[in-house]
Amino acid sequence: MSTRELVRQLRAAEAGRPIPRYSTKHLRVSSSPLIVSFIRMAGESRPWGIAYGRPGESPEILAAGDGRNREAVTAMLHPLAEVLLKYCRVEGWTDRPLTSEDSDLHHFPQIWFPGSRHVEMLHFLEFAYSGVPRGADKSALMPSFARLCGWLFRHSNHPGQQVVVDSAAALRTAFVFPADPVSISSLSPLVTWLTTDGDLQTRRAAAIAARQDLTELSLDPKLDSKILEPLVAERQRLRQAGQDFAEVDEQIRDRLGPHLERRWRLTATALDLFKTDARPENPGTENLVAESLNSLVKDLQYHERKVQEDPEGAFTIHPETDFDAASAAAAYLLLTASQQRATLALLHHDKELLGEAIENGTAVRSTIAGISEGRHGSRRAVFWTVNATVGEQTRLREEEKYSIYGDSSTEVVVAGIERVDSDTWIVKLRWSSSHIRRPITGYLNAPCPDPLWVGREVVLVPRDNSGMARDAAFRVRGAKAGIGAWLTHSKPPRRHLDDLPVSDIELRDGES
Amino acid sequence: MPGLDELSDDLKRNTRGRFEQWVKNPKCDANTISAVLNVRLSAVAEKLSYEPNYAQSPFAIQRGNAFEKSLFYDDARELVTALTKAAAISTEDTKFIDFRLRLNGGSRVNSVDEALAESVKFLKALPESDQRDTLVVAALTIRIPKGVMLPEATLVIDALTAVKDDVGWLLTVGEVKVFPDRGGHTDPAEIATARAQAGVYVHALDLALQTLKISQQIRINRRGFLVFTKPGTNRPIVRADEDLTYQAIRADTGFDRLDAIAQALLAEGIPAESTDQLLEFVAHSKTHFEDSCWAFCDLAARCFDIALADDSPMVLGRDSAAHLGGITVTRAVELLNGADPEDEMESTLQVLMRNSDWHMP
Repeated sequence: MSTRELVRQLRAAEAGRPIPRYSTKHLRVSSSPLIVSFIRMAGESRPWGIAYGRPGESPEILAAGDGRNREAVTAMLHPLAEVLLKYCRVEGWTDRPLTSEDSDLHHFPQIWFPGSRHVEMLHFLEFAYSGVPRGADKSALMPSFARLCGWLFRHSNHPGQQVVVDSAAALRTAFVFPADPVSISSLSPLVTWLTTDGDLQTRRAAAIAARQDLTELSLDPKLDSKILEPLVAERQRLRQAGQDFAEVDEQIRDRLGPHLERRWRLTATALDLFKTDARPENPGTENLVAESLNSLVKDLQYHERKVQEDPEGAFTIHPETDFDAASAAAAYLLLTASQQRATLALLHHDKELLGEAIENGTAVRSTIAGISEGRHGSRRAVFWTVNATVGEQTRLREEEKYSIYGDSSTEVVVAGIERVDSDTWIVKLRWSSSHIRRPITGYLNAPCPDPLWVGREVVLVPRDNSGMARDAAFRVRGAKAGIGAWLTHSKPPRRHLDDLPVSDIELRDGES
Repeated sequence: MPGLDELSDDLKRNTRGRFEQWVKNPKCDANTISAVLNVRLSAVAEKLSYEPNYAQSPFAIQRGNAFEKSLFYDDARELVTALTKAAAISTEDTKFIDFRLRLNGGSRVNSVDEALAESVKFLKALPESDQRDTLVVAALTIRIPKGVMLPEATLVIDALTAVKDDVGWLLTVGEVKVFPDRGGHTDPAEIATARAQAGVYVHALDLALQTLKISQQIRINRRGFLVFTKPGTNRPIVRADEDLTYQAIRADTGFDRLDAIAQALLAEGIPAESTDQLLEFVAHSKTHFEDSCWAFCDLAARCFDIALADDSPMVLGRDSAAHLGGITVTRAVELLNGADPEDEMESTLQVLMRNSDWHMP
């Protein structure tokens, strides 16, 4: 935890309510969001009940009589599968599949869940339904649904993505709560903090009471013991006796319904809180939405097109995804790129995010002490000499590239560093010839050689070099003969007790 | 020791749960004493008119039982196949030894005492055994020989393999958990919990073999295995070769501390003549609230109320409390707003807060 975060928490405690964490909104609410919530039987991995629907409408609520029964659960999931495949405009399930040309940065698929456990359910659904027997039709409803769930789950881990929303996490990111992290781990206390009127004590008491209102996947064990377990046992008895159990199924659905709806409505409230938040949307979110949709088109739609072309033989991804080391390496690099891109997309438009970056040493405050002209190689160059204020942490290094805060198109290179003391460094920055004539926006709207810059304070933020990571992600797949091939293209040897430890040579050569 | 028996039965004798409860907040006296004396915190909460929150769903229990039953069914065929597939054992030719109680699905053991006696007999006989098969053992039950916990310290090891090689017998412990293994996406906290529990088994086995004076003849593997489920099924997935060295050291240190506490309690004399008095004793023990208490302790709501009354920074979380040291929330806000610091600690905090609170002009 940073000291800045502590200060925010104290400000929230002083205000007696949650306060905005950043100066802009980092999440664009789609004009057509979908809300989905699950309930699962304790100990199980598949859903027992589901609620889904658009905000402003009543949710569709479905439940399987027995959450352990695969057939009952599958039947319950069919309507959701169809809705979700159509909603995300997946190839083969709509007349108008999502493409690069036919996508809208405001009207895009965005699915809201109450919390992280609900998002994880997507992965469980992929596990449950993605596997099909050899030669079976992979383009059928449930395998297609499973692959969509798998893509949504994996994409949910990409920093800055805008398609899958974990409402609880989104609220914790958007606001600072005067509370300990464990007591605000689920959606109900978060929404209560934000929607209760009154002073700190009133809000806090309401939020603590709301902790009892479970919004996680499983139900209150007391409810399971007293109400649901006897009903499920009765259903089982009737089923084994060959008798009709539709009435018991109905009773179970009636019992689960309010809990599903409660989770769904809390998520709808969270969505509303984002919509009505008065902060301006960070312009960087436009790029993040575009990136999410690009990933959907390039990754999911590409594979789904292949499945449509060859429903029995097309390659599909395993839910664990990391059996192939090269793919895992590429995925890691892409994740790194997403992290950097997401941060920098937002950083130039959010002063609070900038404050965070300065505190953790990513960005550097500096005052321009002098401007000189010279050459870099055969080209003309302009140099700024700046007094940089560095904190306990800094990542300032020679040859690193930075932008001037507020204008992400600018680029300076750290040409030299002279340490004056632990807090102040004299840094020489080099402007390349292509940037010399262009005015720098956000401050003076003057080009870099202009003497008016002298004495001004500017903040240096890292240049987006996520393209390198993306390039590396592409190249690592084809690096079978490269120097790191022992790591990215070897097969893990089967290990036995007497084979340990495994040597690097063995790893490189694979199983003999 | 009157009163203690009223709180314990076969199901409550599992020391591991009490140890893990203690580890979650060893700074709290009430938690420690509850673990040592085997007094349920839910009972204490009820006595103080707070509603207990932590219970287990009957569905979760049924699922656990069903998984265990399938795992050990037909001489543990499912488990043996999974262990072989994960290279935790090298052959499927195994002999299954079952110390599970009848009420837990076992076939011959009726009580914990019988399981303890049978397990000791098994361990003592092992060095002289000419058995060449790999042994797969369910629910080996051992008692930790020191005082450690009152009234006793009993551990039931979920699964264990015993393999004889040229040097002698090697025991490898395993922890069975019903939660799903999703490869790299498996919840790290769940894996850490399972490994910590397996580490307790390793340490307990160490102690037991020393007491039985057979630690020279039988080796205990510092690497164990974890048994999880394949998502959506009852089929096991084994994670073999899990390093438990540090988990065993953690258990060793923890049990030593608990032992010291138990001895101190005995020396002072437990001020309890009945269950009610024991509950009273725990209820009035000193507490140390941390945000992690919300996740396991039925007394958390009461301790939070106390922390609020004390204006403790712990109400903002453990990290904030660590930053603020002994400074209250109200005082920290005053310092943030420019109040004159009264000592060096306040002065340092104020400078840190001021430096971090920079905003773009």
